[in-house]
Order: sequence, then structure tokens, then C-alpha cells
Amino acid sequence: MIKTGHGFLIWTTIFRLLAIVMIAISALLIVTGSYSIMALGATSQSSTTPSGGNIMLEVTSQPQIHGVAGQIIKVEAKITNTGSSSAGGIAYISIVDLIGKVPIDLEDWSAEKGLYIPTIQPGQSLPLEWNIRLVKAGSYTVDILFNKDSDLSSPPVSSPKIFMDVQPKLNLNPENILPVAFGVPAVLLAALGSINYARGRRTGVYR
Amino acid sequence: MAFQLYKSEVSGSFYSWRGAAWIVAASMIFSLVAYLLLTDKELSLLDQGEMLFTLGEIIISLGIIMATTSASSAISAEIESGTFESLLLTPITARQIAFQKLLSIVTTWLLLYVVSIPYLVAVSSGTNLSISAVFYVGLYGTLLVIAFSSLTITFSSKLKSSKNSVMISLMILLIMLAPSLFFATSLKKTGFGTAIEDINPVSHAMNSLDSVLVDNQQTLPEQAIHILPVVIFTIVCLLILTNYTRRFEVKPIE
Repeated sequence: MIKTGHGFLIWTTIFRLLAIVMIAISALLIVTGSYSIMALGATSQSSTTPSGGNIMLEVTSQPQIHGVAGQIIKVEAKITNTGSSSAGGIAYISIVDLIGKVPIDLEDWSAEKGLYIPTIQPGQSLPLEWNIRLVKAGSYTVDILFNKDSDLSSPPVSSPKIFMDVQPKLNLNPENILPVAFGVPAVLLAALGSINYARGRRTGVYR
Repeated sequence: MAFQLYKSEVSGSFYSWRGAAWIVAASMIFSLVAYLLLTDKELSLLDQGEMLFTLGEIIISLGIIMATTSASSAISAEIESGTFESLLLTPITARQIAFQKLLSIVTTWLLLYVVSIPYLVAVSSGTNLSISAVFYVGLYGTLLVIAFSSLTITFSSKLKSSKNSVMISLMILLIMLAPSLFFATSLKKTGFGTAIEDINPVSHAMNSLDSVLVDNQQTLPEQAIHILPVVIFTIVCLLILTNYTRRFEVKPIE
């Protein structure tokens, strides 16, 4: 009896310990899971509409652009004032060359680099649009940034990155150009050489 | 005796390797331009019309430079080498000598132009610009070569020094080419730039090529505003040549 009672106590203790461990593991899984979900939520938030204070920039055109050099593409975005007071500032684009690892001088790429927005009323959304000429083949990222007039010390609000892949363009067909570029001088040299040789044979220079 | 001088001048340009080297060099320049238009990262981005315009500018500029350089020693070199007296003893008038020299230079240009046609056709292939490119480059090139050669032969006969006539002719040529080749777009749009371009026949020729090849305004009536000043300039230069080559003085300048 004592033996039985002692065994029962042991098994009860083991089950209790197992239950505590399982509860602890479950609690741990729930906590870490919720952190993961929160982190995932935060990531998806930043990839769609990152916000800076009360301004939100959202890319409405394609987040990935595939184009050919010389083509003109359109980058569209939406700026929203989610705050309770009006805001104004400059929205502008920045292009970074991923291969050269340098920012691009927009001189040839876009006629209008910055758009001045005097006021965005609370709750108001405004469309933004840039026409960009793809000057050079390569891989780039495009950011849309907004600098608030009233807040000069804080960093600009930025949009999610747009990835841009620009393929080279061949306006001229090499099959048309190369035969002419190499053929004409060769034909001229051959013709002049033949005339010179024939004249030399006639006059006795070449025997 | 008619055209004997012309024939000897033309054959002099092709008699030997050295005489004909210029045409091979010119074709290599065109080849280099065409190759760069095909392969250069930034030039290859140009529209085909802009590429054609660039090539057309180079063909015409090269033609005028070659003609001016050649014409600047047309009379003075004969005087300096002492062969002009014997030329004057032949039964041709002074004016015929000048015009046969002019004709030989125009023939040289025509040969250069013929060599440039394959390049124009290759660069314009796939567009509707081939015929216009060949026609307008030929038209403006021929008119400007006649004009500058006439002016330069006149300098050569009056200055009697190849060195001086080369320098003066090239200076005039560079001044007239400058607005098209060296002026920035912003400078061309100023009052000064517009005034210079309005009175400059070379600018008219280049602007017309731009209008034809880039803006696709290919008909002659659309280009009449540009063709007319170039034609007038050519006629004035021919009149200058006609007037100042009635007789030659053989004695070189002291």
C-alpha cells in the first residue's frame, strides 16, 4: 500500500512537472510568435507606407520597374497628411546606382526633380508624379522623399524603395553598321592599291 | 585645252598613294563616328535622327575644311613654286584657271560625299530618313563647299601666300562653324546667339539638317527659309571669285 501510494506520488509529481514544462513552452511559443507577427507586420508596413510623423508616402506605381535605356517611365506616389495640422514642404526623388554604388545626378534623368507642396490639409492626400528618362543601363533604386517646411531638423520622410532594372538599348543594328564601318575603308584601300599596282606594272615600277 | 587644268588637278588628287590617302582617312573618320554611335554608352542612346544629324554635321564640316584647305593654296602655291607663269602662258583666261581649280575642289568634295553615302544609309536604316539625309547633306555640302572654295581661291590669289590664305580661311571657317559646333543651347537662345545664327549660312545649313532629320520636316518648302540664305551666300562668293580673278599678278607679296 505504502509502495503503491509512493508510486502514485512519483507519477503525480512527474505529470505535474511535465504540465508545467508544457505550459512554459506554450507560453514561450505564444510570446515569440506574437513578436514574430508584430515584426512581420512592422516590415510589411515599412515596405508599403512608411510614415514620418504625420506624413505618409505611398508608391502607387509599380514597385519594380523594368525598362530599356532611352525609355521614359512614370513614377507615381501619394502623399497623405495623417496628422491634425496642415503641413507643407518639398517632395523629391533620389536615384542610387546599385552597381556603381553612387547617387545619380538627375540632370539628364528628370526635368523636375522636386515638387513644392505649399500645404497639405489634415487627412488630405495628393498625387505625386515624376517622368524619368532612363539614361543608362544598370540597376537602380528610386526613393521619394519629403522634407517638411516646418521641421528642418528631422530627417526627410521616405517612401518604400522602387527597384529599377534598365536594359541597354541598341538604336542601330550592328549588322548594318559594322559591314559599312569596316568594309568601306577596306574597299577603298583595295581599290587604290589595285590602281597603284596596275599603274606600277604599266610604268615598270613593279615587275 | 578646255578642262586640261581641271583634269590634271583631279588626277593629282589620286595619282599616288599619298595623293589619295585623304579619302581613306575620311572614310576611317566616318567609320569611327558610326562605330561610336553604335557602341558608345551615351551616343548609342541618341535617337536615330539625332545620330544622322551628328553624322551629317561631321560630313559637311569635314568637306568644308578639306575644300578650304585645298583651295587656300590653289593659286598661291603655284606662285610660290614658280609654276604660275607657265600656267598663264597657256591659252586659258585667268578666270578659267580659277574656275577649273574650283571645279576640281568640288569634284573632290563629291567623291567624299559618295564615300559618305553608305554611312548615311546604314545609320538611317529602318527609318524614313535615308533619302532626305543623302539629299540634304549633298545639297548643303555642295553649296557650302562651292562658297568657301570660291572665297578661299580669291584669298589665295590676292594674298599670294599659302600660309596667310590658309590661316585667314580657316579663321573665317571656324567663326562660321562655331555657333553650330561650339555654342551651347542656352547661348543659341539668347538675342546674340539668335542674331548670329540668322546671318550665318553655315548655321542655317546645320539648323535645316536638324529640322529635317530630328524634327522630320523633310519637304523643300519647309526648308526654304534655310536653303535661301545658303544659296545667296554661295552666289555672293561666286560673284567675288568672278570679280577678283579677272587677272592675276604673278609677283609674290614682299
